[in-house]
Amino acid sequence: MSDRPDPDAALMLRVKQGDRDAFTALVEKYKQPVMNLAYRTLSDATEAEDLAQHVFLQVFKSAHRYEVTAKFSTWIFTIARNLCLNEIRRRSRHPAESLDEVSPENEDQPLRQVQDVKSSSPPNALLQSELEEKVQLALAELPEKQRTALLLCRQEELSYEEIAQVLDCSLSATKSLIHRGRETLKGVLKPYLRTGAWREGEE
Amino acid sequence: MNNSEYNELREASWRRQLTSAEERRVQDYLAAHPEAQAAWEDDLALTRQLQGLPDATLSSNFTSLVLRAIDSPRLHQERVIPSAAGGSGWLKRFVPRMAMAALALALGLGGFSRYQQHTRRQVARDVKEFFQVANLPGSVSGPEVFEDFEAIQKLQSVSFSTDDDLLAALR
Repeated sequence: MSDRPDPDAALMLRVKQGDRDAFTALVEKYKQPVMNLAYRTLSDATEAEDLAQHVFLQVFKSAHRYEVTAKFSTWIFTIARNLCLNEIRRRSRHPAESLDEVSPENEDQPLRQVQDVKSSSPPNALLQSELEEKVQLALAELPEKQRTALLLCRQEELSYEEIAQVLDCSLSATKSLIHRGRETLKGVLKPYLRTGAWREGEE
Repeated sequence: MNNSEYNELREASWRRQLTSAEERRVQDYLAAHPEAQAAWEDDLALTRQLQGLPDATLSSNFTSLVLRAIDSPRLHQERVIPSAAGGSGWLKRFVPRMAMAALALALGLGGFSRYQQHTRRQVARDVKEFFQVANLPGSVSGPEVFEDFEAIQKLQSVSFSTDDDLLAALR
């Protein structure tokens, strides 16, 4: 861990003391990255969101024994990855069951309220969503460790050492996973990389 | 710039935008190594695609759902007495197995004990019968008691369908 104080760890120490606002701040900061990791791993938005909620519940439940031994982001992504792996194992054992669990006190509440945030014009949106789908499919085909390594690579606050910690492997193994994952993606997405279609879609 | 420095910058470009100075160094390297140009461009394009992946759609009420969940009595209880919660989790997993193992052990020990009692009783009965025969009035004590023992034993092991067969055999 670096010598710089980790502001999220400080927030987590406040959660440990029962500070609810600190917990809310952590949820606000990490909900999207955790959701992204869960969604790209499980390829199902509803299950991914359930799992992301479980990640934060796990963080809250474990707050009493939280010690600042690593960055908070490393810790939460480790929890998220472990829950994803559990879910993948659970799916292989019970393919039809969902994570959804309606408790009596919440049954009158909507499970999800989704805002429509897409604003691209139809042709661009179509092209972009097609390309996104190609990348998503190519990512989904990667072995779990390579995929998770690539996804965590998008998190700028995580160093290679911290990604290695989340994946529970050495630094060189982590770099090798990222390299191999990227090479596979380049092979699969070569036609799109060459045409630069993605750039057109972005503009 | 040598290969290893170039690779370091390449790895850095996977994570972040290179600075203009770094970018210049890469361009100088590529000018000297044109064969690496295509791979560098593919690399950049892939990084752009990965970075450009849109965020997964998240419910607008996500935070409130999480906060409501942490207020649920069940979770609160688990958090207030974590050691007990951990203990009960452990108990839930292992008590049924331990109970089954204890039951199997108890049944095994009970069965063995009953078998031993039965064997001891049988031996005691045999010894008692032997001494009853040996102490019959007028009987001889000693090896003569067993004079017809072998013949009697053989008769027991032979099955006779009728009394006639038995009589014939005795004759």
